[in-house]
Amino acid sequence: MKSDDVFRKHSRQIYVTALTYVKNRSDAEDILQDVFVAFLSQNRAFESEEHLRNWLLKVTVNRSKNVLRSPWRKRCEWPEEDLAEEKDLSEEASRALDVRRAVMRLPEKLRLAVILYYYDQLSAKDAARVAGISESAFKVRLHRGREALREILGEDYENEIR
Amino acid sequence: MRSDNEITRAFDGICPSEEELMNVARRGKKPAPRRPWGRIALAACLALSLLLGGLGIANGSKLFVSPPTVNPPAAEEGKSPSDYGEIFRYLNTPASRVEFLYSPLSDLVGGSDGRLDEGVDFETPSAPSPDSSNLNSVPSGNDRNEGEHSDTNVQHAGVMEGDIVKTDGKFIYFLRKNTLRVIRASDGFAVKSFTVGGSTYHEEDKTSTLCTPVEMFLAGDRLVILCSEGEALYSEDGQMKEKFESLKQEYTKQYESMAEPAFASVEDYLVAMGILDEEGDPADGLEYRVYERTLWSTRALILDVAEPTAPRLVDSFAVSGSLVSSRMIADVLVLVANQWIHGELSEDRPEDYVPYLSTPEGRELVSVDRIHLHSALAQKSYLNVLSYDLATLEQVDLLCVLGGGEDLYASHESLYILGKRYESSIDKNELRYRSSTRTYITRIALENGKLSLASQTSLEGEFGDQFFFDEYLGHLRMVLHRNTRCYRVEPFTPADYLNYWIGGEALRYEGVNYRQADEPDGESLRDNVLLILDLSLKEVSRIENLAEGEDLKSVRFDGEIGYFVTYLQVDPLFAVDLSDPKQPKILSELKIPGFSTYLQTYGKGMLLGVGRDDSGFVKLSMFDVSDKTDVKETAVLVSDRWYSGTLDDHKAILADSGKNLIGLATGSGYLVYTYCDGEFVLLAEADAGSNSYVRGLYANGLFYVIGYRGFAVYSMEDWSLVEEVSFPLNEAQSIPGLGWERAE
Repeated sequence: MKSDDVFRKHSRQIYVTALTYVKNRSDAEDILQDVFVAFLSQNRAFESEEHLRNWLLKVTVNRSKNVLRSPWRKRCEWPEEDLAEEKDLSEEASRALDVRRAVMRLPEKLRLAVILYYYDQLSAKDAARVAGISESAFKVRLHRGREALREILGEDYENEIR
Repeated sequence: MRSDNEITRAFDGICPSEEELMNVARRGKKPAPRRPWGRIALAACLALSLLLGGLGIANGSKLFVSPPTVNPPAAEEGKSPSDYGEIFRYLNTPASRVEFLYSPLSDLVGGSDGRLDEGVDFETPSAPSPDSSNLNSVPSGNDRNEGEHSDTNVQHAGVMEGDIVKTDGKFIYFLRKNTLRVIRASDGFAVKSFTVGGSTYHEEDKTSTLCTPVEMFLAGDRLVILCSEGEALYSEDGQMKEKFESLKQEYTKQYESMAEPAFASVEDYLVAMGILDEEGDPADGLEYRVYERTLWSTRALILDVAEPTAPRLVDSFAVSGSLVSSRMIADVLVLVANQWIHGELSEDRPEDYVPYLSTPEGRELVSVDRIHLHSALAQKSYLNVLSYDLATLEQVDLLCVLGGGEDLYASHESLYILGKRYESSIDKNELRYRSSTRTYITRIALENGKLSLASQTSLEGEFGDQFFFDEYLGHLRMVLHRNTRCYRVEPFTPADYLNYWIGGEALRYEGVNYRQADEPDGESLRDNVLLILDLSLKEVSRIENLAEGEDLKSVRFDGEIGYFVTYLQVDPLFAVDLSDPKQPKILSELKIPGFSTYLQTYGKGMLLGVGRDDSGFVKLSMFDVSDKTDVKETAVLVSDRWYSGTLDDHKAILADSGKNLIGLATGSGYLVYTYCDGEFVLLAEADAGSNSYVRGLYANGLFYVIGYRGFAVYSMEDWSLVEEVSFPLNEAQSIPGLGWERAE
């Protein structure tokens, strides 16, 4: 596979992971570019595709952390268009919006755990490495994130997030 | 089974396609239509940027450049331009700044040019009027001992803030998505629904406008709905259009030359040949309209609600820029919008760089005498402040200040536009990089709706929200958090560059590349500072080094006393004596676990804190502040509900010491407490399905919990559930003149 195509395959994971971390599209786009340049300029051998994916996400998380230098980023809230999307929403779309908002409301660390595990579909072990914490610490965060989501979204969603 | 879970679906829904993301990754631009030569251009662009990056000379390359910031030329402070051309030249003044390689931090302003360390006056500050001394001594928030209904939780009594719910006691107005619900606050709780937002598609130029209601105000018979309005702008790719037109022409000729065409019409033929799509637009790969950006404006809809179940539109206008915040003082509505100036500008197209006002008569550019070039914030955005008299239905004033801002604090007589910026510099001799955040404050004096730029300043440190500021007896008091970081840096070669950047930050300053150490060094400073300025924003006094190493979580001023909470290790609540602005004194420091993100005085001698405990659960605290030198936490309640981010929005909190009610949305609903004998007692618990956009209010002895699904009504005598009402679906009516059909 061409290097370009390898990156393409993971671009959504990189973008969504960055977006949920920094909460605004333009920073997420910058991070995507950064990760792309890092990817093109690295010259290490990856053992497997998982290894590469984990490496890309690790760089994504590191870059995102650097972006979040300020303790307050209230005005850099979740993209404005997500508010605007509320017109004429189907039930499914409205539900998706509720889930996004719930995830975005989680504290940073729990949010990252939830995104790495559920969106990026990493194993707990890989996700812990990407997040830079121990596997047991990761499991605790994931558990707390799940509890919080259940509480925010209500029981209707309980079976959806497992 | 994790694949295809709810979270994946939710986020996939907003994620651009892989193709679009690749375009972003490669070029950092919105995706353009696919072109046959795209791949070649891409490869060339990529190779070039890597080459330039590797050589460390990528100064002008798109990949390496932060969004534009400007250092204003040494123009006269606060001067209005003589014509639009002067604004154009001002906006095009080249920037000189410290550059962050690969850093998405967009607002780094290099050097001290354009920075105002001292307050700058634009007029002689007026002495505080005699009655202003009483304004802030009115207990802030909802401390009403009488009255039949609650009101939005605000910072200063008399300075109204917009919200999604408003009531006059007889009717409740609730705004959610694009629907306004009007509820009769007794007598059967009948609900009428009206559509007040939506999107329109303009067939002629194939653009769409989106109007989303955000918040509202109620003043007598007038209901004001403020909406965020977006208009998508497109440009045309000339080359692609030419190609499309020529193909279209060619195939049309082919069709016309057919003796017995197998297609019913030429359009059918063009669709079959892949020139047009099913809708008659250029087919995939031939689109020549390129999405450029969305033009955001803030629209105010003024409704007459003399007959609440049949609202009438009496006025509508929009000002360019996204809504920052709004206030209503007496009958004067003030709205503040931030307008970014994007893209390549051309002097003969002032509509691209001058703020505008849209009225039913049309769109008009703001005249130069209402624009101020002075900009301490040094970024390409305007702050557009508009005042409107709801009694006469006339716009009073409009003032545009180039420089932008992110938040608004308003007293009765002043509007303070607040902005914060990261700043950094490198000392080449000491090889030290220093970064910190500055808060920029612009004071606009407000007199009967007339706006005048009064003073500006900038201070080291940053704020959290509007409560960090307070104007009282001719002084502006604030608490700021300072986080100054110093790092050792070392110059490095381009060859090192790509190996290093993932670890530490890579910087460029005056043409030299530096690599920054991973950890800050001993000169870094993290503390909080209390500042008192006069109204010309010159410093009167300060207390520094408060709660070193701790973050600042919440601040509340109450006349001559100020309170603030910090958090990290020991989490203290500070009380400060501000009676002598020249000599503020820390009175007490109470150490408590967890922290409050919101503070409000609660009756005499009490202070309520809403926040979370160390594990993240909602925590209510009541402090006895009757002896300011010995503040005590008299009650604490840690609920089993998860702390919700909406609690950072003070409007989602009801704290009414008159009625002794504390209401907040959390978990999947709403909790109502009362404070009695040193304890918080739960009165009611409503399931609203969610905690976002949920509000509690009372009117005529009944307590309402309103959310998007409907509302629940409780008797305030015994807190029994009186009624539960679901909002009707698909029954919204349109308001004449507003144009929206149905949007549910």
